[in-house]
Amino acid sequence: MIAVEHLVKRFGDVVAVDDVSFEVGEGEIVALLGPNGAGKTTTIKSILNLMVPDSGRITIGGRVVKPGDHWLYRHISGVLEGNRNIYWRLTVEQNLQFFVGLSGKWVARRDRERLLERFGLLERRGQEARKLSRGMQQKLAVLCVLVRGTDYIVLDEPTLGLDVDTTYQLADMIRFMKDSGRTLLVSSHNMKFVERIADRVVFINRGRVVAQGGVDELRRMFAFRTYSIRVVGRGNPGQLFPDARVEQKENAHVIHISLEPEHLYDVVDKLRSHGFLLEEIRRDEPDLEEIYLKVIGGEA
Amino acid sequence: MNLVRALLIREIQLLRSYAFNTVSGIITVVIIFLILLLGVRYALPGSGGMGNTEEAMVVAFFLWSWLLGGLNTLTWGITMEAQQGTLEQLYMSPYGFRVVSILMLGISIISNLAFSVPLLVILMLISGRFLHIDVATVSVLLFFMVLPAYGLGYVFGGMALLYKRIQNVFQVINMGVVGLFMLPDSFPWNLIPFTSGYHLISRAMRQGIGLTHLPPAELSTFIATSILFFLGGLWIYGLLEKRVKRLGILGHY
Repeated sequence: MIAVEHLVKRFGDVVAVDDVSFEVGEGEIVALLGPNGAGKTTTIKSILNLMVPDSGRITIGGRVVKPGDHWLYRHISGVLEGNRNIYWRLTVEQNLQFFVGLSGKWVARRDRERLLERFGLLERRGQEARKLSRGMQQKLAVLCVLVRGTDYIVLDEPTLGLDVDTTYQLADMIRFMKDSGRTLLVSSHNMKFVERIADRVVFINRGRVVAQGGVDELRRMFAFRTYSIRVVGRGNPGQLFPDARVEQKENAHVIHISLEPEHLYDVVDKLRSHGFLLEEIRRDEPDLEEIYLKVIGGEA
Repeated sequence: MNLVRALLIREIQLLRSYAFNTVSGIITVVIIFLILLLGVRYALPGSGGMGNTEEAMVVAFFLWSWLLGGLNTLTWGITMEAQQGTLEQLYMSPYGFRVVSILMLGISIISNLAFSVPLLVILMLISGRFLHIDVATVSVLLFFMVLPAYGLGYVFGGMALLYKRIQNVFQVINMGVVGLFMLPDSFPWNLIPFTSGYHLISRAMRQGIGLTHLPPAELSTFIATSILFFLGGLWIYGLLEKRVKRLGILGHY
């Protein structure tokens, strides 16, 4: 398990990380979500012991990380945002050999080929990394972390600048890592990607954790406020509810409205009194992007 | 062992990739040497001391290129790793950056030799001054000569991480090394390993004096100061690295 407890990091007067606490359980994929400058990278660099926090405690696999420790890299590795993380003048295969060797290990040729084939890099094995597309380079960087064989993997904004197709391939890589028993902490702005991979989400804004929980748990938590009500009748029901969004679907109207559950009956009564016939009431489940906007937007 | 193998493969590949850079570096030093050689020959026509001067020039140019290789390995090495975004990956080795960087230095001797040995041969051919090359003696002296350069490399590498732009200071140091060769071979100057090392190697290469025949006091002072410079550099790097990690700017460039 990775445990972050009361982490604080200041840069002069700016508090980049302010009392951040969360855990990444064994075998879990936890996504760290937040706007630019929220403190995600600072938190990640602190976990990887590449930055010394002002206070707080980080434990990896039950052992406390202290400044200057390097035992942790037997257990944890990572890909950092904005960095190449790989050598552009080395070929795909040489990069793989180098990074696994950096951890004191070696991968047999057959296993290397199998991995490269699994992630669509086999045909490029002899090509210098600088000649690969951005997506291929990112896949290679993640693969170079994977071959190090650590139990915990941290990926900082791995989808930055990637197209949809490569993002899905990367999500597939991350699920593969989880299936092979790894624990992952991933920061990203890409909500669709996070929805695809994450078991739990930690929302961070202005250096503080503002919400956290399982993806389904968060959906439930934010779901009760939004309803879709399908009605048939004359006129526009939108005029009755100025805050609602109304769609016309064939001969019916669908009203999307945010309200507390106890007010639902009032809405139904109002519709009926204006001659509308109720066809369906459905509680909407917001996607992660809507939850993000609610959580972070509410903070802004 | 796997770590050494990985670093070795990387060094050889990068050496191959930057072969043009190595060749153009040799050509540049040779051109500077030729200009100075012609200058000496025209300035001192028929001088009895010309042979000695030319021999001294060959030794100085060879040692200069050797030391620059040592200084550059870490200073530019760390800067380049930070620029290309791979420094943090080196830090994430379970062996720690100290071990990784020391092994990198050991392996970089290959590329350093690939530059300096052909250069020495070319300089001897151009000047017609053939020096004594007792491989054992020269190897030992060259090793202890480059050790303090590695120490300085750590200091400047750490400064590059902290202050980012140190090219101007580093250029002065690069040129200043030659100046240290000119200092007298006596106390306190012989406490600078670049100075004492130059005089010892000069004697070994110009007069053919073997390692066992070099003055033991001078030799041991040279070795001791060389090791001290290296360890001192490593220690200063540790201090700078702590500061860099507190500021959170490791890998920023």
